[in-house]
Amino acid sequence: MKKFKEWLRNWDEDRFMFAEDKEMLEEEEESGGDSWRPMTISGLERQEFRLFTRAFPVMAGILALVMILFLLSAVLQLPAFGSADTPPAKSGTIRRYVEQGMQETGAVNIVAGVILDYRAFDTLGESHVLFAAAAAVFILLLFARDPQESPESKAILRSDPILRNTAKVLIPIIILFGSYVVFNGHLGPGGGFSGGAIIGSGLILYDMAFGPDRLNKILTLKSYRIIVLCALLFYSGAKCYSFYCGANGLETIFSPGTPGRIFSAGLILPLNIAVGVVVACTMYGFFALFTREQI
Amino acid sequence: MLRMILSAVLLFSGLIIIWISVFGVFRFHFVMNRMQSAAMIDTMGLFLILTGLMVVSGERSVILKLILILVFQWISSPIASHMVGRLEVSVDPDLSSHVVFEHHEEDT
Repeated sequence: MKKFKEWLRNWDEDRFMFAEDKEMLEEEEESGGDSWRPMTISGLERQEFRLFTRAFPVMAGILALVMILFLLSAVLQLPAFGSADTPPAKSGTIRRYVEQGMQETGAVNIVAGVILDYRAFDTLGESHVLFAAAAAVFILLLFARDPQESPESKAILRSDPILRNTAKVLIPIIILFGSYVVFNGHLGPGGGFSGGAIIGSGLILYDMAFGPDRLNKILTLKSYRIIVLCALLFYSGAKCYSFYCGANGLETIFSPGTPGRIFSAGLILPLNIAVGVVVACTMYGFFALFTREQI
Repeated sequence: MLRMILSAVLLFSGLIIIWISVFGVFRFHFVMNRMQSAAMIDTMGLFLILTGLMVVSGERSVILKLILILVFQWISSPIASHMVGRLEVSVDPDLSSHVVFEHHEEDT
């Protein structure tokens, strides 16, 4: 411990190296040698380093074994899959979701009913977290550096005829499938997040195949801001209205409708569309920012 | 029973193809060889495995979905390999030490 303290005291804050190395480097600089060479370590450090490299795998293996034992013992204590004494089955909320979820929310897909109706507050927070993350990335990437000209290799890739013709076939199908997933969120597996990610990947493929010029006519930074802001404001406003009505026991104008129809389930379909728009635009915006530092 | 045996043969040959491809990805050193080896996974290996799954399920809806997956993978994944090769051609300065050009392209 004392030795370690001495060793640490030799640390030079300014040059990020130890005093011995600094002296050796200065000697070499004076004699006019190369400015860069591999970092040298003294005998004691080398011994410690060797000990460390030998002890590290052993200690890591012991730690991994202990973690594996803990996790396996926890798994052994879990109730069997689908048995009646699991904690959510005992609590009663799951019975309510399964038995009355379809009448109360109007969604055939109970998961959509849970995340966008029973627990919509949670999903609202998630959308805002996504928006905050996107805003932080925009601040870091958009105003930190000047936009650069795209390198030559990207231009070569963009002019590839095979990629262009395949993209012409694939992009309509991808965007159609993404819209289907968004609009079908309350009837089957899907929803705003997954469908928006599919639409966003279709936009990214379009950008890679045809370049940013054509897409920039529709999707600029200004239109991105307007779209995302409108979607999030609509989400917040609609949920505020339904929270207010629900808390005060008032009738809402959104009815569950007939389960199974496309225009049913009250607010779930418009909320899915809003979330999908936000996710698709954010994915494309991130891609544009990371490749050419402008949107 | 015959169906099970057929699907097992197809699945195992798909696994062997994938194993050979993974071996090639780590064994070869030049990008083009590795790319060609990796592209084998999602053409031949995927074809054999999905055919085995089609045989073992036998339902029409499952078969149609698997055929759809196969079609889209066969459209998109060769393009990915092609783009990797294209990037290598446009970036690598000493390409001619690895590859023999039959005719020189002016546009690249």
